Amino acid sequence: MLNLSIRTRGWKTDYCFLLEENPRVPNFNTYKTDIERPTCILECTEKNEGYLFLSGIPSQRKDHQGTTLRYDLVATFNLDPLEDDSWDNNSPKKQYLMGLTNVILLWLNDVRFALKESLEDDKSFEDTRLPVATNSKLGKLIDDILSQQYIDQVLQLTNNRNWTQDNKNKLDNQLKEILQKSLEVGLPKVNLPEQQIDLPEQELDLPTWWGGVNNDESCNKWLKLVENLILGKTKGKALLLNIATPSSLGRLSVKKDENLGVLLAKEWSRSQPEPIKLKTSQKTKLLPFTQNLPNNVIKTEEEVKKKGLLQEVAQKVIQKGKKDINEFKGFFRRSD
Amino acid sequence: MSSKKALEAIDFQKYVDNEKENQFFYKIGLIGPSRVGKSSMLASLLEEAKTVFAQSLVSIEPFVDEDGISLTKDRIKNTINNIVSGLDYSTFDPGYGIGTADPFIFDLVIKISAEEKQKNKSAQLRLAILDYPGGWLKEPQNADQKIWKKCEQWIKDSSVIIVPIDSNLIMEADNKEKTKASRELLQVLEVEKLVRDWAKGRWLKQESGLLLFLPVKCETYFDDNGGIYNKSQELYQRMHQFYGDVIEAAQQEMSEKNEDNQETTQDSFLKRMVTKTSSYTIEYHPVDTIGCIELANANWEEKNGKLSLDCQYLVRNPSNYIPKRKPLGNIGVLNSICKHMVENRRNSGMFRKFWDKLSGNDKLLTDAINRLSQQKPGSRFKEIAKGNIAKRG
Repeated sequence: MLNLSIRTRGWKTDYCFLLEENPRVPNFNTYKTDIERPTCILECTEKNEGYLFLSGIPSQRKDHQGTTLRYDLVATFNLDPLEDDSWDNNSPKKQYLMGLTNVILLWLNDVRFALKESLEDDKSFEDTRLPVATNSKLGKLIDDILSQQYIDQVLQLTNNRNWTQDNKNKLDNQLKEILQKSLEVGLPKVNLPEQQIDLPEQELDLPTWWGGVNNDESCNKWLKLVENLILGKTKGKALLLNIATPSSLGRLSVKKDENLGVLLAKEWSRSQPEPIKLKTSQKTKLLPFTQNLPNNVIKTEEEVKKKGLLQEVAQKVIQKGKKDINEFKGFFRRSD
Repeated sequence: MSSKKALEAIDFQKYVDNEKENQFFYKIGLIGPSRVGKSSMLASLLEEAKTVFAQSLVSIEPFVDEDGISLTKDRIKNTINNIVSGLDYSTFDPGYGIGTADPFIFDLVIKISAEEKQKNKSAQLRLAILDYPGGWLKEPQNADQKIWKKCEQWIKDSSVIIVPIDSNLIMEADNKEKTKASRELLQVLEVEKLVRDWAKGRWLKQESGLLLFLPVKCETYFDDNGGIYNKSQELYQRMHQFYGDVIEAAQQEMSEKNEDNQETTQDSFLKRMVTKTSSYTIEYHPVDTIGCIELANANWEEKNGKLSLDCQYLVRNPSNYIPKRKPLGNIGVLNSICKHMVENRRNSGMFRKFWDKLSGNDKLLTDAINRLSQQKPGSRFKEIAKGNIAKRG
């Protein structure tokens, strides 16, 4: 199952998702990013659910004040943890998922082109937030499929809340056409290198890392993660955040066995992949420790941590020499 | 994975007052239509503040979190970049703005400079200004209803409401048809409804309120910031023509019946200090958002049977250099907000507690706010109405 939603603005009508209420998504507001600028949030969970939020896709259309408009794309999809061999490359589902991967690839290229252009304008990295691309290939692809007249009509239906299933089906088909057509769009040669870079084994295995959006090695690693996430080969998150810093990424919650790859902008744009140093926030919300715990004895700090206790608590526990985990009911565990 | 919810760009939970952590947000709501220039207005406020607060201990800046990140700073910087991108040596193209698709809280801090902090105990006062897609005013059904309810609640809880007005729309509407189109573009009816709800909320809570009408993009209508013509009186009259019902709605909900509105500001202040009566103030602060531009052409265009205004701007005194922006009128807004805080600090329970703590912790800051509140308003400022909030029951 794949559901696509698109948000844009019309000649006069303000931004809203076409022919639907706001799509349901995971809690995105913890990420340090301005979603009015290029942002990518791709999450794939252990429940085989996938979510994609892609913002800042520029359209050639303008509103009544001459302001350039943009698209935000949301995709929700179920993943089947199938091996590559069992996939039929021509199956619609595989085609759509490959299309989704390509949409992200096109979008990343647009973002990098825009960044490159603005750097050629002698702007410093500090001033270079991810700019909105002026010649967006993805934007043009969407514009070609969703005409201005069609969007204005659909926005009218959305405002009046009187669309039919036929309207909805037509839009769904057009959004899926974007995925299909994305597979046909040639990628520019300026930015992403065509060959894969062989990274050292150790770095490839890095489960949580960040890199610069203007660094080929980081981008290739990130795109590989995107592909693996969308095709259900791994779980985790691939993010492009336009305000976050390497330090702030340490507060992201990452589950065991999840991968996290983040591309950053600004002065980190050129960075190669680096590990994210996850930290426990002093302000992490704490919940009463109420889970059923096995009545066993703790011998090491590691063991305490495995039970889900905070590191700080674990250290105290060991220091105080308390051995029975049942004594720690009433202590706390992390909310995530 | 967290539970699924509507796409929510901001965490409203971060802006809840917390007495234990001595965290208080002075909430401000913006009620304005889409593309009126809300973000540009706030960017110009911060720019003008830099000039005004130069060589003083006080500053107003975007809030920076524990990771050194400021979403507000980035949003403001992007807005300024967009304005600069639209300015070349002789013309200004307003089309570089990007428009708001999600609610956003401009989180500003009034504080004393870092050097002084080392010598004294320090505190900070947070101003949290909610911006949201202007289209939600007219089509709230397009918003996620839970998020829209949070926005509405924010507006009701706000001590201060700012109504930004595109001055070109009210000044360039020279016939009935264009006036009707302008009213629709400014969404005056929807503004009236929200202002009425806010005013009713003030009355229900018996808390003071400040309602500010801010015509923006006023460069062409004043001669005190590089302009040639003075059409300030006409602008004020037209604002009344367009927003008279909004002003009346606010007064209907808040004002004491048969009130003697002729009492002086000082009498009113003294009376409130003695009786702890809550008050309302309605003011007019026209603002030059950019400062160095002039409206050259204003063409009404018809599309799909609806009129819209296409404005073309020229840069004043064109040169080969980047035009120097010179916003004006914003500091009066800040002064009024500070004045509102000082005058009404005894009336609002939570704010009173916060102010008492602030006074104890950071006398420099409370003194600075006091001084700001006492500054004389500029010549553009007009007080539209002032009075006591009617008692309940």
